[in-house]
Order: sequence, then C-alpha cells, then structure tokens
Amino acid sequence: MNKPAPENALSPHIPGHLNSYPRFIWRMMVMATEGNWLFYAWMIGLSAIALVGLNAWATQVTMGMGVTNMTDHVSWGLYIANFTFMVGLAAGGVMMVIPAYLYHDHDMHDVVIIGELLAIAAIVMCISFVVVDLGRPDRFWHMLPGIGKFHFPVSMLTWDVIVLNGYLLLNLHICGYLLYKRYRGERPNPKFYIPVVFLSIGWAISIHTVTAFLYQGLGGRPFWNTALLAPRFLTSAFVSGPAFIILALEAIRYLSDYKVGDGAIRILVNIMRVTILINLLMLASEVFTEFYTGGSHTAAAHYLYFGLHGHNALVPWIWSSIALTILAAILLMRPNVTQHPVMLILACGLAFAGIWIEKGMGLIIPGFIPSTLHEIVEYTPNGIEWRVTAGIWAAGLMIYTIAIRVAMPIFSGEVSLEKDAEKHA
Amino acid sequence: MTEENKSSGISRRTVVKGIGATLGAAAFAKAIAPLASWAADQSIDEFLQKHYTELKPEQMQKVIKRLEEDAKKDYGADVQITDTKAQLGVKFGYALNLSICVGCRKCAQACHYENNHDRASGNSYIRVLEMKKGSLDIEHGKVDYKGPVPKSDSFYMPVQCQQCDNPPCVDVCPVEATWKEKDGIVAVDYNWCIGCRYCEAACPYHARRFNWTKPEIPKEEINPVQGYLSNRIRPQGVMEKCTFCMHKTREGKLPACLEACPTGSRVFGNLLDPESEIRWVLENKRVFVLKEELGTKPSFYYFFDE
Amino acid sequence: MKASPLIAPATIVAVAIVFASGWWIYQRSFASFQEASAPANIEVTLDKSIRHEVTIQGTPATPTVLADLSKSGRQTEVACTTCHTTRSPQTDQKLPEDLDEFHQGLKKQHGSLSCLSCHNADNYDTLRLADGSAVSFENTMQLCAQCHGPQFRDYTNGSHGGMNGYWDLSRGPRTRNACNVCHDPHAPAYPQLIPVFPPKDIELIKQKQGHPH
Repeated sequence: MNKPAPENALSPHIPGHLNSYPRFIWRMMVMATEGNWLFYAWMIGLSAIALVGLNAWATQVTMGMGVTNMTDHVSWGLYIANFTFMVGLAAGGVMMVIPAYLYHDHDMHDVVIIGELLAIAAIVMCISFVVVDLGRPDRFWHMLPGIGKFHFPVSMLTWDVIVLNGYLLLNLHICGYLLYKRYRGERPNPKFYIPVVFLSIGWAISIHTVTAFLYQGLGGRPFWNTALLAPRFLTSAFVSGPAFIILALEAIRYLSDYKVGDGAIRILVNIMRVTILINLLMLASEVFTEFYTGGSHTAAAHYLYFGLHGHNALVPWIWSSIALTILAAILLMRPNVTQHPVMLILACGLAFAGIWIEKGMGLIIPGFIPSTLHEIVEYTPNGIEWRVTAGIWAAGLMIYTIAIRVAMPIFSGEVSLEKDAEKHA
Repeated sequence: MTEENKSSGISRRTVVKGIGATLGAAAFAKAIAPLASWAADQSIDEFLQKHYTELKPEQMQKVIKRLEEDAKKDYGADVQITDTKAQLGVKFGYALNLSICVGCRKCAQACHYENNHDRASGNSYIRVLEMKKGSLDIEHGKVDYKGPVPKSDSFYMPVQCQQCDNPPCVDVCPVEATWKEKDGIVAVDYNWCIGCRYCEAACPYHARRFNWTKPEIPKEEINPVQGYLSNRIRPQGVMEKCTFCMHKTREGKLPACLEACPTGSRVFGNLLDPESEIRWVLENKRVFVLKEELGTKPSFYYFFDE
Repeated sequence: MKASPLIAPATIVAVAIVFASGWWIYQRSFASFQEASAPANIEVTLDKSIRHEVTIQGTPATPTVLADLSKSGRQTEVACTTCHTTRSPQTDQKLPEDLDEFHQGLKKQHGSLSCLSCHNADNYDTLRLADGSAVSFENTMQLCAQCHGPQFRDYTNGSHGGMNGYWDLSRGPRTRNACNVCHDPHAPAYPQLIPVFPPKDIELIKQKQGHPH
C-alpha cells in the first residue's frame, strides 16, 4: 500500500524508509492499544459485542441460515439492509473531501482524514455484512478473478465488489500516505495523493450508484425498479455521512484535547441542510408516483406506508423514519444550530437514525413484500440477526476508534518520528 | 495518551495488556467454537472443486463418487448420480392449460418427492395460485387455498421456473454458478454457488429456492435416481431451482409434475421439433407468458381452451 | 494547472476505452439473448426412425352386472345382453330414476342425452355411434369424440388427459388415460376434490416469526 515515496530533500537526521516505515507501523500498533480508562472500557465493551456477533455468525454458518428469520420470500434482510446503509456512510465520508480538496477549504483540511477513516471503517463493515449474508462463505474464493469465476461485467454484484474494494484501497492509500508523511515530519508530495483524492471523490459516487443499481436493475421488483433509486441513495448518503462525521467531531471535541474548528462543522451542516431537503423532496416524488398512479406495481409501497391486506409490520418503521428525518430537517434549518451542540447532536442523531431505517427496513425489506407472486410474507429480524449486526457495528466502531486514536496524534504532530527518536535517545 | 513512566508503569501495563490479549483470544476461540463441527463436515476436495464447466470427465466421475458416498454417509441411502448432457436439437418447452387445471397441487407434491426436497419445510419448485376468474393479475392470486377445488369462480395457475431465454437470475450471479444449458434449462452448480441469493431477488417468478438448512429426508424416501445438475440432495446454503426434471427429461422421459397431473393440463416437449405436442400447442392455441413486459422470454407458456 | 499537450490524446484514449468497454458489455450481456430469441433455425437431429408405442390405458371392457338370476341366492356376473335380448328397449325413457333393477341409483348428468344415445339397443354389449353403427366398449373414445371434438382434438395432440412415460417416443413408450379414467360417462364433469400438499412454508414462517394472520 504505502510504498515509500522517492525523497526530494532528505534531511540528514531522518532515517530511510526501510527504517522508518516499520517504526511507523509499530508506533501505530502501540498507540492502538493505549488510552485512558474510557478508551479501554469502550474497546472492551465493543469487543464483547463483536464476539457475541461472531458467535452468532458461527452458529448461523453451522446450522444454516434457517436460524435467521429470512425466507424464500424475504430472502435479504437486516444484513443487506445494513450493507446498503453502510455503503452510504462510506460514500458520505467524501463530503469532507470535496470541500477540502475541491474548494480548498482550510477548516476542512485539518479534519478531512476523519471522513476518510470513516470510509475505511464503513467499507470494512459493508464487506462484513455481505460475507455474513452468504450461505457459503467458505466459497468466497469463487469470486476471485483468475482462480474463480468473476461474472464481470454482467453481474452488478461484481461491479460492487470492484468499487467497494477499490474505494477501500484508495482511502487506505490516502490515509496511510498522509499519516506516514506527517509522522516523518515531511510535506506530503501532492503527486502521490492528490490524483488519488480526486479519483476517490468520483469513486465515492460510484460505490453508492452501483449499489443502487444492484436493486434498481431488477425488473421483477417494481419497488426498486425506479431510476430515482441511485440519486436517492446518494442524497441520503450525503445526509447520513456528514451526520456521523459531526457526531464523531463532537465526540473528539469532548473526549480529547484536540481542537475541532467550528468551520468544518458549519460546512457539514450546510451540506446537510441541502441534502436532507433534497432527500425529502425525492421521497415525496416517489410517494406521489406510487400512490397517484396506483396499480399492482405499487403494492409494495402500499404495504410499506399503510399496510396491505391486514399486514403492516413495516408501517411503524417507515413513519418513524419520515418523522425523524423531518424533525432533523427542522432542527438543522434553525440558523443557530451550530452554536447549540446539544441541538446539533440531536439533529444529527435523528437524521442518522432516520436514514438508517429508510435504507434498511424501509427499502430492502419492502422490495420483497409482496413477493413476485404477490404473496405477503412478513419479516422481522430475529435475535441471531440482531446479534450479528450489532457485532459488525461494534467491530466497525472499534476500527474507527482505533483509526482516529492513531491518526489524531500523528496528524496534530503530537507523535512523530523526531519525537520518538528523541525519547529513545 | 499520557506518557507512562518508564520504570514500573510499562511492566504493569504490559502485564495487563498480556492478560487482556489472552482473555480476548480465549473469548474469540469460544465464540467461533460452533464452526468446528461445521468445518469437520467439509472436505478439502469439496472446497477445491472446480466449476461444473471446467470439470474433465474423469474429475466429474470422482466428484460423483464422492457425492454418492456422502449420500450414503449422511442419509444412509444408495443413490446413483448421473450427469447427462443436453441433447443436440432439443430445446425444452412447457405449456399449461389453465382451462383444465383443477388446482389439486399434485404437481407440487410430485415435485417435492421427485426432487429430494427438504421434508421439514415442505419445499416444492411449484406454487399453485388460485385466481379469480376475470383477472390475470397475480396480485389476486392465493396460494394457501383450501378445498374442494376447482371452485366455480376460480381458475388455477401453477407457477414454476419459466426457463427464460433472457434469465435475470443468470445475469446477476456474481460467480457464474447458474447458467443456461443448451437445451434451455437454467441450471445451478450446487457446488459452486456461494449463497448470496441475488438470483432469488432477481427472479420475477419466485422460482428459486435457498437451502436454509441441510435438507432432511428419511432414507427410505430418497429418490435414488439423481442428476448432478438436477435432483441430487443439495448442500446447505446454496440455491436450487426447477430443472424441468433434467434427470428424467434428458433421458427422454416426461417431468414428474406432468406425470402427476391428473387432468393433462401440462404439455411438455421439444420446441425444435415441429411435430412435437408443445409446438402444436404454440401453433394452435393462443398462448401467453407470465410478465411478458419484463422481457425475460420464458419457455413456459399458458393457455386457455377456447 | 496548465493545459497539457497530452490532453487531446488522453481524451481520445478515454473515449476509445469507453466505447470498447461499452461494446464488450453489450457483447457479454445483450448479444446472448438475440441468439436465444431465434432458436427455431437450429436443425433438428433427433432420430425419428424408432417410434415407441403410445398405449391408452383404462378403456372399459364390455360391462357385466352381478345378478341372482337363478334365485338361488348366488350372484353371478352376467352380460347386459342376458336380459336385454329378451326385452324390448324402452326408447321413451330418458331419466335414470325411471330405470329399475340394477340401474337403480344410477346418476346421469350428461346433458340431454338419453340412455340410447350411447347404448346400442340392438346389442347392449356394444355402444352405438350417432350414425347407428355399433362400436365396442374398448373404443368408447370414438363415441365421446362425436360430440367433444375440441377435447378429442386436444387429446390426440397431447394436450388433454394425463399421461406417463416418455416425451421422446424414439426412446421409450408412453401411456395415456382414456376419457373415462377421469370422466364418468354418465356424469362426465370432473369431480371436485380436496387439494393435496398445502404450502407448508407460510404456516411455518408465521409460527417462527409470530406474525398474526
């Protein structure tokens, strides 16, 4: 990944890459396991949840996916719902990158890495959610080009595999390169990361577009078969992504000594103010088309919003989602929201939860209800699915926590090769 | 974040970390313990098995031998698995006369036994819809109807894999575990499928089924005449679907659902043979296909008597 | 950034790549179903020299009734002609209720036909076609076909009536049901029945997930 870059001006006291790169890696590993009691408690708690999830997944692989509540009627459930949402979160991270690099916003430059690290953690979670949804995870190698059979370009899932892994690699490269350079106390060479940053901006759009294409290309599922799906995915991603980053920035602000400028938060709030409204507008447009037109193709929408033939398991979910999103929009529209951290945190939390429901229970599940033969078989996730899901969220949060825990001291210059050398001397 | 002092702090912290790591490793081992029994069931040959289209005849013989041994070991049944290839000049087609189908569901039952379906879930590749006369919209269909049938205000529409010429399930598969055979059958390599269920989401006819558990079948009920791409007992965690009873039809025999039909509403045959019964139906009846607007081009036709 | 002289060739290469990949995608995904839509041109190579038989099973034999003719209390099988040669046919009788002896309880729900529309008054061990000629019970289907032309046409073309065996008659025989296997000649409407094998999964899912309805 982080190939040592050729040096322009190597100071005599800075050692070569063969020496400094292993030290950089080692230093990160040490930092990842160090922190105050709050850090340890947080990590131990997350580990416990992750292990519970791992155990549930092991049970699922052994006993078969019949231990979940998924059926031949609703054949994708909570896992794919979360996968879809996490792709959005990963793509949403780019909303830090665009102002920083496209508009050269200085407030953003200092915290842009928070968004890029979020993308890394979110993509790892995406891949985990796909793996736990596989009936035969042991045959994962069948997908590897060369030794397996990679059905590219016909299968949209292969596109998704490429864009997700590609996005992961791009962000690993950007973050790794920038951190390593900071650690060595050098200016990053724009040649080695600026093109990648621009590529990653386009790539972020592609991951959520391709993920939407997974669903919207299926003619047999009219609920998904709409051209608005990909744009809706993107706008909702640009709500949930910034919302999560604001929450992370506030957490960093309160739980550590690092200064987080108001500028970055203000820009993110401004982005959310636009995207959350566009998201609601698109929702209204979908709802209008479904209900004004009517016909049997709208059965899934009927089921989702009002229930169908006495079945209404999803109705509370979608209305909570809409209520949460509207509430968040109202809070965000208040001009002084950035001055009230509690209100801001609340607004972001509401928006995040609203989008999570909308992309999960409100989008994936109703695609299957009624089934293609118009049978109504309902679905609610069961204990195994919730445990596995919680486990992956815990693992993702662990990755993100560690990533920030490692990146912030290096990025702020608190930890560097020079200081480490002094300490050891 | 705080810099620890070098004398006693490091060692204490190291000890605590060590204990933490040990406990963590123990908990991890405990968490993945259920996988041990699953892993014991998997063989390295199965794990490394190549895609159906890449297996040489002698490799296929080995695979079949292994599968027959597995059936003996897991189910106690002596089974014969064959891998009959598509016949040149044959493309299978199916037609169903909705005027004389009485909705007895004997086809669904025959499918269940013929294809070694899981007994616990009562799986079958066929679902029979009870439809109200006056509408062809399957939204008005009902599958859990009760007797006596046929009801005077209803007609009955069995739905199974339509063996589309433009199958969405084949397009979406990320690993080419499902494809269209030369005789028109959409087949699944049960030993290659990764179980992502994308095909199940893509199919507009609810024709695909997932093996949510390892199929349970009593030894004496197992149909020993099995096809590699057809009715052999499927492994857990993979997709399966109707193959028009490939193990029978590629030997020239009629599919099980047709033989079970008491009224003869089902017509099966070779679409490429102008003298076949199926071609007579296509030329003399006004046939239609399900969800034609999706462009899937089914090889399964429905018709009413005039 | 300054405009580089490489811009023009780079654009050409990019456009070429887009077109090439577009063509490739078209070839892999859409070209295949054009082929599939015209399969009828493929030459049929089936061997039609051998043709196995199609057997029709279930045709009725010449009927008999159990009767105690000697009044000894012992019932024996007797042919219809045993009595009917000695009695003159009652051509005016149309309803089975009017019949006596063995025929009592017989239900006839077959349009406005009378008994002698099908039974041959000249020889009750045979049936009678509309043109007056006799036909054996084994060949009942000829009789049915007189009125049920479309059904008989569908039957002869393999799209009516249950069957077993081979679709490919060059490889094996086939057995077919006669009309009377499913249709009682006196009340031919197909009887209502209780469907077998209700879909079990729906009930199981409801139990497992605890959904109402």
